[in-house]
Amino acid sequence: MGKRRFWYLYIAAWLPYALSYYVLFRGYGTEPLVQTAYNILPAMLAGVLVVRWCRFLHWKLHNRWWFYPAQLGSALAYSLLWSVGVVMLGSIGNAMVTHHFTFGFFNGYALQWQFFSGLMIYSNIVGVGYVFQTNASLAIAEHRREQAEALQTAAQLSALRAQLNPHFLFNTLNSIAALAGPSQPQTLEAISELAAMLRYTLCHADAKEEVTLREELSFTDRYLALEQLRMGSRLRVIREVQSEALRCVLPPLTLQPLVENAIRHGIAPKATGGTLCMRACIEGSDLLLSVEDDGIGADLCEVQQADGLGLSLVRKRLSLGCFDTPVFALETQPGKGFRVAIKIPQDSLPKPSVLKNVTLEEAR
Amino acid sequence: MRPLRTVIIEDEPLARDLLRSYIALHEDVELVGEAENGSAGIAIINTLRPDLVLIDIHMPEVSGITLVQELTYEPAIVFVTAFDMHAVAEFELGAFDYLLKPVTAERFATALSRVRERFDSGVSTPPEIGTSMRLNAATQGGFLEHFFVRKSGALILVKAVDVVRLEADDDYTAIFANGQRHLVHVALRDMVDRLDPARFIRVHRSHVLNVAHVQSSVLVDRRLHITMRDGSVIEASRAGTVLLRSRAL
Repeated sequence: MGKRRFWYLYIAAWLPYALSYYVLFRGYGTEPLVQTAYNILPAMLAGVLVVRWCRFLHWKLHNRWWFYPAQLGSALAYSLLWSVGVVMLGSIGNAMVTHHFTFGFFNGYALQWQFFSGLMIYSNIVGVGYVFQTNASLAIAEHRREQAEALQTAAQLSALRAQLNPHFLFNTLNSIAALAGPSQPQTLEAISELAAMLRYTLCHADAKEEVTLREELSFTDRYLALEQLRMGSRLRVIREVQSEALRCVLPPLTLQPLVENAIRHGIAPKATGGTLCMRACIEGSDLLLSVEDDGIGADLCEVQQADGLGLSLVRKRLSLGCFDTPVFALETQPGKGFRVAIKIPQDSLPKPSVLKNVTLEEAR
Repeated sequence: MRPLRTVIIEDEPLARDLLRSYIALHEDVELVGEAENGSAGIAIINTLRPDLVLIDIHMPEVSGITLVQELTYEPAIVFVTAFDMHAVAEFELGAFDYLLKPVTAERFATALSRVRERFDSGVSTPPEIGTSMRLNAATQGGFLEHFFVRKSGALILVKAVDVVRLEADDDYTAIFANGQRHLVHVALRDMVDRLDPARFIRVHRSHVLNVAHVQSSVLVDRRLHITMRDGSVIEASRAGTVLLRSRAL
């Protein structure tokens, strides 16, 4: 919190208290403003010490046995300090007006009252201080957690890349195919589907590239074939793809993650499985893509906040890609399935290539 | 029908097993030898003079590519590779036959039938489209001066100057030259970097034109419609139109 902001807030917090004193003293009729100042100023100044003290006696220490006794002690000290302050200030003020110093006067009842409200003020200040402290440390913890997660993801990715050298991967799949032998056509089929999928992801990792819908669909179909091996009749697929739409272009790996999401979060958790529907058509100069399932659905707010890896990945790829303002829409409700729709404008040249040509132009 | 006398050159034993098992599925293919490294491969090919060689690209010491360049004799070649992002485009640009690991029976059969077709046509390959020529043209980087295309079993050389235009057709590219349309299995996006920008301009996501073959152009609704010498009309995208006008075409 900024210094200036702290003071504004701090003074604002004291105003209502000061006001109540003012109203009280007006009842007695003797210089209510001065009386209020005598009373509130020491409390306020001593309060600053309490704020400091709070930072020293940090909330993270609250599990120690001495924490509460220490708090009680400092509350008493604060109250005492305030009372002494009021008396001193009052005496000095009085002396300045009357040129005659008399050291306060003790009204047993008022002192007692003041002492307990001192304890109350102390606990208010400390309470608010600890709320701020806890918030701040929560925010720091959250930030650290996010950083750690990002680091972990990056580490996982690089570990995957480093360990699964593509050469090793495809040679191994080839060896496995050899071990299965030609008498196992289904195994060989599954291996080659998996290999084709891996090849596609490795070759098209760059979101700035573009592929045709036909390519992306055939990749998605391979993925679906492998999912179908696992889920059997629990997974039903409907494809409504306009044949003209097949030549449309989109960033690679945008359709498949949506399908994977629908299966993983919508259809797979449902015992009876579900139906996945992929639609693609051309509207004007845009490609409209939608992936819909009748699975368990989700709370839209939660989805938007959590934004599972798949969705945020696609969103990111779309924004990284060279497509102008692709539109992304979500529709879901718990128990009512999930639908994602994307609109990808088609009418432009891929930007990198244009730039490349232009720079070559200028270079010559 | 004379069987294709075939040699396998591959350093991994299981990979050799797989190729051997696929060869066994084809009666018209006869396995005459195997080698487990490049230098042994050169020796065995020069001695046995097979019709077909299946070669793994990545082998210790002598790679498949080096091996082919050092042959004194020219058999039909099918490259086998695990993973090379650029190799595939290069193989296609050089009109080479290749298999990707894990090799499937289906792809093996397709590659084989291509070799068979060329073998049976009895047309001998002219040296300017020989293996090493194509290997150099395709793998040396730089702008493409030639395109190698397959036409009913035979290999044809298309000079870049003769190419009127190129059009994306999914992950294929159609090359229009000398009144013919040739299909190459390389996506246009993977080819544009290899096209000389002094000669070729990408006017649309799926169209590249050879500047020398442009006849005329008109502006319709902020887009250029370009008529090529072969009579085809190409509509440039807005960005393509801007690009073309910057070159005063």
